[in-house]
Amino acid sequence: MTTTSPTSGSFTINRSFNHPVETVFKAFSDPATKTKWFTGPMGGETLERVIEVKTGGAEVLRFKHPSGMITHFIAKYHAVEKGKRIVYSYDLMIDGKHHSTSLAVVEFMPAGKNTAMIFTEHVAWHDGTELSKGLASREHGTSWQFDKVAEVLA
Amino acid sequence: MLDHSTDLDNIFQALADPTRRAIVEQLGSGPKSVSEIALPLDMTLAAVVQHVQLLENCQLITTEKQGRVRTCRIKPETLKTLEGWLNQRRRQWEQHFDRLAAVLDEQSPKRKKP
Repeated sequence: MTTTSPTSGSFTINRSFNHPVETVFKAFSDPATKTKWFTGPMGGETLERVIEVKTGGAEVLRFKHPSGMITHFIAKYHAVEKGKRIVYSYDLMIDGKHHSTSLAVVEFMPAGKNTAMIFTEHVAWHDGTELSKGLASREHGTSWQFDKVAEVLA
Repeated sequence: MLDHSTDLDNIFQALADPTRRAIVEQLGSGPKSVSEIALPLDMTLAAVVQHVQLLENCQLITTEKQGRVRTCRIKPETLKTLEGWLNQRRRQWEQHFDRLAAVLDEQSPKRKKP
């Protein structure tokens, strides 16, 4: 993990799935399948949902969390290359406030009958008051510890 | 606001225990009473209360008593401080991908045809 600036940062997640690339890619592009895994936490309520995974397409998920918080994910697909790569950007609104803007790249690679996926995201925070108060530098120093905690909490 | 040298130690110590991690995870989906927290845990209510107190002492959760019911909720500020925004975002995606893996397995179970 690298923190590149006080109000933005990137991270990469590497995952492998015991399924062929076509199946994994379809889970990202097929609306019925994507709805199953890309949603809010249990006990919440979907308020608005649009999934149109194609170059130039859009995705929207407005979700009411059990705590009452409303998150609004608004994405645009810039490049959808079947079985290979998905490039999209998204805004995240939390309770009506513009929280962050991200550029995300999902890459799929066959690994025998399985799939290796690399997810990279660069996030810019808009209401990052905590970041500007020095959280980023603090995070930097103890990032290895935080990574561990994130792992056990995940 | 957290005093980082000592409080972070306490937080990590609190989260080193699997039961307390399970409690924090449970509260991630919304506030719960102590008895609701105890339901899936294989221990006495008194033991659960001790864990809850420890989590409250290091500011990971807050509790509020109304009548005979003590309601616990996560203190998002502490978790945010703990993880940083970036790790929080990464964690959300990790959770999505966990769910994706489960959906894929459900769709095409690894079953050998007779």
